[in-house]
Amino acid sequence: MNFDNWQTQLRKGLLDIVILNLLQHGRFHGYEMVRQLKKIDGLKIREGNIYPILARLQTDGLVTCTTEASLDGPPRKYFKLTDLGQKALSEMNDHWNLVVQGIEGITKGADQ
Amino acid sequence: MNTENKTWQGIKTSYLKQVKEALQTVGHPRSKEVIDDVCSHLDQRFAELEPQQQTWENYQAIITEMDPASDYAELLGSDQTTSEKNISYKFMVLLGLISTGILLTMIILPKYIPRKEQQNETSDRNELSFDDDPRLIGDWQSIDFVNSLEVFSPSKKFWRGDLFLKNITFRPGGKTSMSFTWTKGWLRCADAKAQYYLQEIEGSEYLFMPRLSGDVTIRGRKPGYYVLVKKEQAAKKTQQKDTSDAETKAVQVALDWLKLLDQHEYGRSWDEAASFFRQALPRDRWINNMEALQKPLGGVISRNVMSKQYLTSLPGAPDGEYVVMQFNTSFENKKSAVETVTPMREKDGIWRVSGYYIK
Repeated sequence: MNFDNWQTQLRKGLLDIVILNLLQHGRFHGYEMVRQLKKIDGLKIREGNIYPILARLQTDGLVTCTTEASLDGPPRKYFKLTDLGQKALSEMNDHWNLVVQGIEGITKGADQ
Repeated sequence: MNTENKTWQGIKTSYLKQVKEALQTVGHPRSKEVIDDVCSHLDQRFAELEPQQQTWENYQAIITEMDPASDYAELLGSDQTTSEKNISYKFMVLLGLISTGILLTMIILPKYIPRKEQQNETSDRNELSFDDDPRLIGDWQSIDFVNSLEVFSPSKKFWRGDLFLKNITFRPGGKTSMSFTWTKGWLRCADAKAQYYLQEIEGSEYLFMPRLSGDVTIRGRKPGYYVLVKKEQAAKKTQQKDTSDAETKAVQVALDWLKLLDQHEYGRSWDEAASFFRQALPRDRWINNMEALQKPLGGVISRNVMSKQYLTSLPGAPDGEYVVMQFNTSFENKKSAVETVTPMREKDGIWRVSGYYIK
């Protein structure tokens, strides 16, 4: 089995839910989000990952973006969860918990 | 990747080009936004490199930490047509709801909106009181960027790269030429604020203006600081430097020219003098004078600069740029003499000697 390939696919699949969960705690600009997400062990985020996903989430109406001036350089784009995004996140988290519980159940079963 | 072009700009442009090509395959309407975001991200990564970290290896490391260009297309997805249809449908429904909402708002709600709430918002903003700082007001020009105030030295630039912030004007009442505001000791931008510092160093006033990044506002790290000086002060410093450069250049010209006299090459010294000098004194007379006055002094034992002064006018000479300098010179047959040499900058920009006296 190609473990790296599996990790890559897992990361790509998880990024939507991870980004939405982060935005649940407030608005962030892309660079901050990358820094936060890099702290998640095992996710192994690549720094460019989030930008196409944020663009897609915007298109889907799950996040909105506002541009504001900053003291440290060019204007920054701040991303924020929409009500629709909040609802979608809630469903995604429920689903994720089901999957995790299911996997844990199988793991425990296999151990016994 | 063109490995010959080992600059940050080169590697960044090359990477962005690859991303652009990859995104063209999905034709997503937000492709350009993604490229702009990635570009900003890369700029931010570069800006965080210390001058000594600005190496090709670190540039490559930054690019390696980004996605392979092909992944962008996959992550952005190609099902935007379906999404757009959904959005369009949702948009129409939302539009209907919003229109109804607006209508209701216009007719009914004004009667019930508590005016107090609106006032509170204004009041909150007013609570950010303004304290004046007359020293801050004016046009400032950035001269350096440092990671702490302590490392700044007026004589040695810390930041090797280009400075993002070039100029800023602090206006009375808390406004600036940029989008943020100020009150004594603090700069405010959106929901962030940061302390600035005014310090007098070696007789000049410097403004240390914090650069707020996510590392500062989110992670509580210490900020880096732009170092700025008032524009008039910067102009004065530039003028001082120009004067100093002129004096240095003029001294070298004078010493080279004096060597000709030391070697008794009087004709050549006349040839290489300023036109003002040559017009005032015929070549033969100059040679005769030097043969009679300077040659008997013998060889030069030592020659030291006693003084030099940059002037723009001299009695009996046209206005221009002059450096009047005096040398304390010891000859074989005259232990102590004072040579006065006056180089001038001619119309072609070259410094040439326009006067020589020995006492």
